[in-house]
Amino acid sequence: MLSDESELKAYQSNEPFIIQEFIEPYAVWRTIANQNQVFLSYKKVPENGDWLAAVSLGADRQYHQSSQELIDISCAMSKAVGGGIYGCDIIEDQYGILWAIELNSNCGFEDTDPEIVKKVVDLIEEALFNILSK
Amino acid sequence: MKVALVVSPQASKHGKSENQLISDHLQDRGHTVVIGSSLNELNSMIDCQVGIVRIPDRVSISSPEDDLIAALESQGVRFEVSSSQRRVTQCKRTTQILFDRAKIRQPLWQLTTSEKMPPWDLPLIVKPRVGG
Repeated sequence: MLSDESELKAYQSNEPFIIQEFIEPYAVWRTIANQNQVFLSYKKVPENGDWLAAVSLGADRQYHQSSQELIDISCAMSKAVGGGIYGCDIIEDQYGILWAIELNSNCGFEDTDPEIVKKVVDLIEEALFNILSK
Repeated sequence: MKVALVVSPQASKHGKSENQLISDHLQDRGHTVVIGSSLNELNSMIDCQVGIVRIPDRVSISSPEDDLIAALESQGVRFEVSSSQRRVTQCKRTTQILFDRAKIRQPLWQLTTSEKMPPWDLPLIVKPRVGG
């Protein structure tokens, strides 16, 4: 994140890069979803109030039921890239508005989420059977 | 049935763990799982590749969607072209273009360079590895 003018002027890259508006997060969500359903959703709660909520950097997971709005945006995000299971990163701002941030091919589940693994494997088998039946 | 799980070379430690979990469960169900870093590497070894969960994810775009293709090309996205479809690696800018097209709410974004920063208020998020 570039927070002030000096950081902005100092930032140099030989390659084009994406710059994005910063949305102050009230909550940072990760859903595991495909174009039809959400399998799991949790809030990523960073250590020490950091804005960057990444489980790999120590953020805690708080599991929650998915609201309809969270389901809608998650499924839309997957559908937008052609469908499939993704880890969807979504920011909820202070007004409760949800913002799509990015999709992750590595969904973000562990062996502590056996139901998710089972659902993913079910979907792989379903796709196999569909291919075989053609 | 041999199933290929394609794992990108950049897959995180976390991603490798996911692949192993999926692989273990598929094997428990009687499938043979081959894991590799590219389809080329795996094509000769497998009966069937399932592009559901593993990387690289590809976005297929039908030829009639010329406006989308133009939008992607204007952002420097390169395509693989086959007879009826163009395929593109799912990367940050592709995803963001597709989100815009699907009218999904996302923060304003712009592909830019160090010399041409957008006139937005700070702070800004930088995504350096745009792919494509």
